[in-house]
Amino acid sequence: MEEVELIINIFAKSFPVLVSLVLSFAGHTKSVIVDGFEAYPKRCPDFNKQKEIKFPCVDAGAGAHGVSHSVVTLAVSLTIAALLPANVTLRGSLLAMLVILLLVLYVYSISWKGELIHLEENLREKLLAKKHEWWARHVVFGITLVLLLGSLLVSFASTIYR
Amino acid sequence: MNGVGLIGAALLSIGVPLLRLSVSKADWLLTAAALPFAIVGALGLIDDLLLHEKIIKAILGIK
Repeated sequence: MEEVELIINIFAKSFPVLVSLVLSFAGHTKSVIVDGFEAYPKRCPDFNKQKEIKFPCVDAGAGAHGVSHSVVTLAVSLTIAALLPANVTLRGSLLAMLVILLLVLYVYSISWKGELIHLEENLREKLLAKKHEWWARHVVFGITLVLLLGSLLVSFASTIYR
Repeated sequence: MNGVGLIGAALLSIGVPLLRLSVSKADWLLTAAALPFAIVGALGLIDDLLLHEKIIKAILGIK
């Protein structure tokens, strides 16, 4: 029974990042943007041609949004892990690091110059050059997967050392 | 501030609390799991803030 409770605890604390992982795998952001184009095709110049080639013009922006979304859900997960019963040392350092992470997110959001888009695009090109085509199409999924592993580790540690 | 810094800060926010807890509890397995997050996160943030993305550009082969 204790093992079941442990698994439920870890699952609940990592749930936001898990949702982000599923959404990134399903290409949720791009599909919402494409739905918008299909609802108002006149707003998208060259709509018919883009529809044929599956709108590659929105890939980079959708990817950058996916990475930002993953970081936000990680911050939510870490906050939940810090607020629920946890070791005092872990709680203190989690809250301190969360302040830094939120500060970086804030600075990042007000100084947006598209660097995340370039980073994601360059990663994609590098993976394509190395013949990792599946990972090249799922860069955001890969980054979110690493964040989920970290979130699971924090959830595990905060559940074990309460 | 760019993408490397954001991802670095995210990894650091996982690595540092885990490292501090694992050292205080002498849980070396947890320390080994936390170290990659802390090291990669710190490198990402330093690369962004101090090195003008020299490391990530060298890794990705960008001039």
